[in-house]
Amino acid sequence: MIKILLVDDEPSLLMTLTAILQKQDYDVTAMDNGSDALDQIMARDFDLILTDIKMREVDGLQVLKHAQIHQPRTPVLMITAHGSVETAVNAMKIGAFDYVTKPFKVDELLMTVERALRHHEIVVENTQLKNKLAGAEGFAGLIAVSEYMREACVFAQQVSPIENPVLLIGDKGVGKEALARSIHLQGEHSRSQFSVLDCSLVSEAEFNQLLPLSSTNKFSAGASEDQPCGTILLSNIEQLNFDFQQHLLQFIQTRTKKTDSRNSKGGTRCRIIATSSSDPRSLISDGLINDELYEKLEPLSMYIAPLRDRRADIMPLFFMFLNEQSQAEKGVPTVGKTSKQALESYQWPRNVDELKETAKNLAACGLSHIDRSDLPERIQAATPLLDDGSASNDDRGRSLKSFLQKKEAEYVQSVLDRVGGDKQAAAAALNISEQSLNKKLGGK
Amino acid sequence: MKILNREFLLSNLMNDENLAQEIMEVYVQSAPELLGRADSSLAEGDMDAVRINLHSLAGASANVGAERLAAAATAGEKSAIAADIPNVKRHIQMLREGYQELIDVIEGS
Repeated sequence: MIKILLVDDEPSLLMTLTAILQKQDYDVTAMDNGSDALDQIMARDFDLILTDIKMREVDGLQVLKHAQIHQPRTPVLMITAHGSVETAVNAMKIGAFDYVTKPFKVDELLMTVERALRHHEIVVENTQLKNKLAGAEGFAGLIAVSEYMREACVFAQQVSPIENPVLLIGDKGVGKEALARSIHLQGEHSRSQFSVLDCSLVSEAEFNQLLPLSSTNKFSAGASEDQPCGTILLSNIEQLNFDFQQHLLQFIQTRTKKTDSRNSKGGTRCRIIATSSSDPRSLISDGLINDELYEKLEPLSMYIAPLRDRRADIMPLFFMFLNEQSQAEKGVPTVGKTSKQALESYQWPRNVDELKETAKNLAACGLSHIDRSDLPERIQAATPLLDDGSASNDDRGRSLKSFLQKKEAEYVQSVLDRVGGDKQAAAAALNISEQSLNKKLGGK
Repeated sequence: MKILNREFLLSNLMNDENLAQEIMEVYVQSAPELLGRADSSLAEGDMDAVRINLHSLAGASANVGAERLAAAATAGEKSAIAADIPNVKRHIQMLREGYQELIDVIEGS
């Protein structure tokens, strides 16, 4: 039941208002003086406070100020006599939601009350949403509830003050660019440009313009020597042709700040962040990436797991995207339990990009509540997870032994990926012998 | 301007006659108290208290549809704000007379 605190020191008015509001099924706490109202505000939570302004001793403005401190989300409506609106307007300037004038017209009074209550509902929903997001540990706007993303955030935090090149590895759509932006925002280059260059599409002219080996470029125009001039994100580095790789290597050697200043040749400084959807080590063996370049990138590299392997991030991310995309006048829709289960069970082959697109499409529908039936069919059809949150559609009908073997192999592989394919390091991290590691990987 | 606009209060209470009667009884008791407080505050020279009591009386009167009393109390409140003591006295006297008129109307109905 909606709880309203009503304050008026004139008994017949208090009685009239109480009767009007109770007829609408509101739970009314009626106080005939401001002092008792202050005690009530301390003692109970209200959805709305309706107070006369001019009262003996403690007046309505004091009630308003007290409510702002102790129940800041609760809207306060001021009651004022017709012709004394100025004080009510002043009250609104310090935070009252609105005012109603005496004598009341019931329809107008109830409309104002309903509007204030709707506002309260939206504020509460938004606060709950923000709390959900705030509960997620993160870094520079990243959502990180899962262990994987927490590790990624720690990595971002550690590398942001260092200017050496960074390599982010992960499937398409996992959030490599978002992580790169966070590193940029927290680092010395944050006030400068963040440029993205897709290595699979870049032309020679573009490449030379953005990463010149001479002293000035479009990117560094106006920047003095040894000044940070921004971050260049080279996406799909594995698709950069060999000539450009050589060029990039030279650029890194001359135009980025070295941790060892004796090697620095001066000039404007850029931070290079490269991303790859494939394990660069396999690309070296395939001859697709210059191993000298890889050596420059590898020391600060990070693997970002696909969304299906970090399901704890799904709902916080989904709420964040819904919040971003929802129509302001309709507010953020609520999400039903079965919808949540489906969203958390789905495999998300296109990762965060697909989750964002889904949230965007649902927000565009202007729904106040998202049921399972509102989700795309492929998501509705997702098989519910096992308790450990790790089952996939492919696991149906498998024996427990083979399921566990598969999961173990996946985990061992993920640790191996995290340490850049170094089996000795992976075995040490897993506290097993290298021989066992090979066995668990299926004899790889 | 009516001494008592019954329809106004009734319509606010969704034509609940009993509730209107109860509220009227509360008003009939509280109005002389407010008027008495305004009078004694005037005698003490506390114009702020005069203003507050006349303001409450204006609001309470308007709420029950006692239109003439509401108008007189509002005029008295304005005089109190202006510290116009002779006019405040005049309005308090008008309010006493108006209150008696209201009682006569209620009892006559």
